[in-house]
Amino acid sequence: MTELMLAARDLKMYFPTYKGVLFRKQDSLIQAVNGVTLDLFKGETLGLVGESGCGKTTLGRTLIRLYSPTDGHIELCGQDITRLDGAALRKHRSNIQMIFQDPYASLDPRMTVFDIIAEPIRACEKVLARKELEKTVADLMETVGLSSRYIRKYPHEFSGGQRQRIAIARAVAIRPKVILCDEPVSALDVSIQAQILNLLKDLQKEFHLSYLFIAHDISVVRYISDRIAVMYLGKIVELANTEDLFGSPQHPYTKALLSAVPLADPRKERVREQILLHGDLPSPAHPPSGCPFHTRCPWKMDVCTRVVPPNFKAGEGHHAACHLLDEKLMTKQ
Amino acid sequence: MTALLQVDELKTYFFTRDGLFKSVDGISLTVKKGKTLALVGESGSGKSVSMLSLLGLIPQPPGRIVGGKAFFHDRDLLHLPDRELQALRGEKIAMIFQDPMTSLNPYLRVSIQLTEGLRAHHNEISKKEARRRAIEALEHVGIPDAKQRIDRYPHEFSGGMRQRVMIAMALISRPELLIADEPTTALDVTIQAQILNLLKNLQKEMNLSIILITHDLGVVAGMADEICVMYAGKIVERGTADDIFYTPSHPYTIGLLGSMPRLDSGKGDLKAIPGLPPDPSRLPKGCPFADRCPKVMRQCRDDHPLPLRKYSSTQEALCYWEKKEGEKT
Repeated sequence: MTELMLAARDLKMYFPTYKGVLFRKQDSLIQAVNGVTLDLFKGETLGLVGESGCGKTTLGRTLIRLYSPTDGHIELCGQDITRLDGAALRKHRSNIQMIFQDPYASLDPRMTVFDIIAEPIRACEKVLARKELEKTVADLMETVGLSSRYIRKYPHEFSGGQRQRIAIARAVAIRPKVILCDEPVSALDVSIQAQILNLLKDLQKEFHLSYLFIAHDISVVRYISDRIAVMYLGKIVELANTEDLFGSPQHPYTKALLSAVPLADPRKERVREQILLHGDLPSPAHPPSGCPFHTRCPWKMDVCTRVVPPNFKAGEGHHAACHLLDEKLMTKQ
Repeated sequence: MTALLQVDELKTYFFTRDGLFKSVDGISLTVKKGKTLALVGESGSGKSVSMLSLLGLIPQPPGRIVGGKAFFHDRDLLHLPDRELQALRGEKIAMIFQDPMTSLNPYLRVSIQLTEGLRAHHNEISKKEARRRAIEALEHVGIPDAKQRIDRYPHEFSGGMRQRVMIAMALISRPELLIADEPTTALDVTIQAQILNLLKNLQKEMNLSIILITHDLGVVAGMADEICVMYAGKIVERGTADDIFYTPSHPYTIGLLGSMPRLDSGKGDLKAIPGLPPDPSRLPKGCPFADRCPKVMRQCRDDHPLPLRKYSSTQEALCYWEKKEGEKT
């Protein structure tokens, strides 16, 4: 677990918004991803959790260069891909694939399963004879638990869970090193969700894949991830091993987030202590000064409104961006 | 404890060109005053259709309520003249839906949408009085600056606030029964916690009965007094929250609990339920869960009504397989 597959350094992705029809002028800047640094190692799953609008998806898409970042660096398998484009980018793209949330929208309804799964193989210019390609696709289908008898069928003939299996087969078709999973199970029912999560785990072992796993469902992320990054308003506020994050969450937002998850256990649920947050996520176009969380934080201090908290170490591979962890500051008070 | 709503053998079928869909196939349930009943199940299990049937909101055709009774107080909702049902709906029985953005009209100010129902049911209430009550209702559900915000449009509210508006709208006429269809599914966890808390407090205060439709067992554990687990149009198991979570007895309930990743237990492998729910137009003979069931027996596929096993005064399951005392599942 030492080989670095994907790395982001102080990554920023801003989207300008415009107003006016005749004289368009820039209205504001949506700071969707605002200085994110993270590493993804070989064979691990890094979970990315946060509420809607916190920038999880934008971060994922920036990392695989679907967007051109405003600032910062991205390295994929040791290669800086921040400013690559055209053929040079495409060459590196074969190292990374994506699984999307909605298996109804992410599969072309007019393509057969064969064409869908073969598309990335063809796009990578791995020219195979038709027969050989069919065999590869059939094998892939069996790998993800679909009968290869269905190779000529169209997506609408499958259920949601089966479609997600097709999407997974497509993602692993060209043996990528990294797969970006953006909410891959949130559209599925629980019993099907478990099947897909287990499949993802099995494939990871088989192909030594690294996953960047984006989801809003914290129990799902806990189940699949080795490490978890918690995102709030475009920033990673805490990052830790899964056990550490759940065992000793440091950032107030992480604490609130974990305490808000309902437990499927009536007795524990009756005595569960919640940190109820007030209000909603601030607009990423006008993020608050200082710590982005200070508007909702129950432990807000004076300094929080002024100074952006740096990352403080809270343990081995565990850091959180909160002034409460600043020992010097806390002893002074 | 008196029953507020008593549903008996409700059947709602859809007659379409693609065949007969038995969406709700003989469900019975009782809602007590001031209590919460949860309907749990996966998509297509008939949770929403059964509740829409009670309110006469099933499009007919293709849908038809082919059997059953549903007594609210002493009146059968399924055989009530339209006008009388109309008088109950929104007034005594209110409903909130999953997605507050699609159930609020984006063209109308919140004030109009809030007072609409009130004024439809009560001619005698003046505009001014209705507005006063609407502001009161918004304050009640925790919307700050209700006086100003009542004249805003739905898009000017965040998701959580919109759901609060929906709740205010549902509760403005002080109903006795609230049907909440996936009320927090579209919301983030921190917002979900706020809304669930709000519902619990309002329930206590107004002695409200709630039917909570959801697929999220976590939400159910903290909210429900009684739980009905639905599968393919049938209630396969019912019990108190403790019954269902600690001593589940139907293989589907057991499977559902096992396939759910949880925060409060080890990271052991999830036990997924193999296969898919059956096509509702081609339900198999016998038990609809038989094809996915680890405990399947020969008689499960027989064309006989399934036996209802009673485990206690509160718990029963629709299943041939009987869980033995202390058996590991």
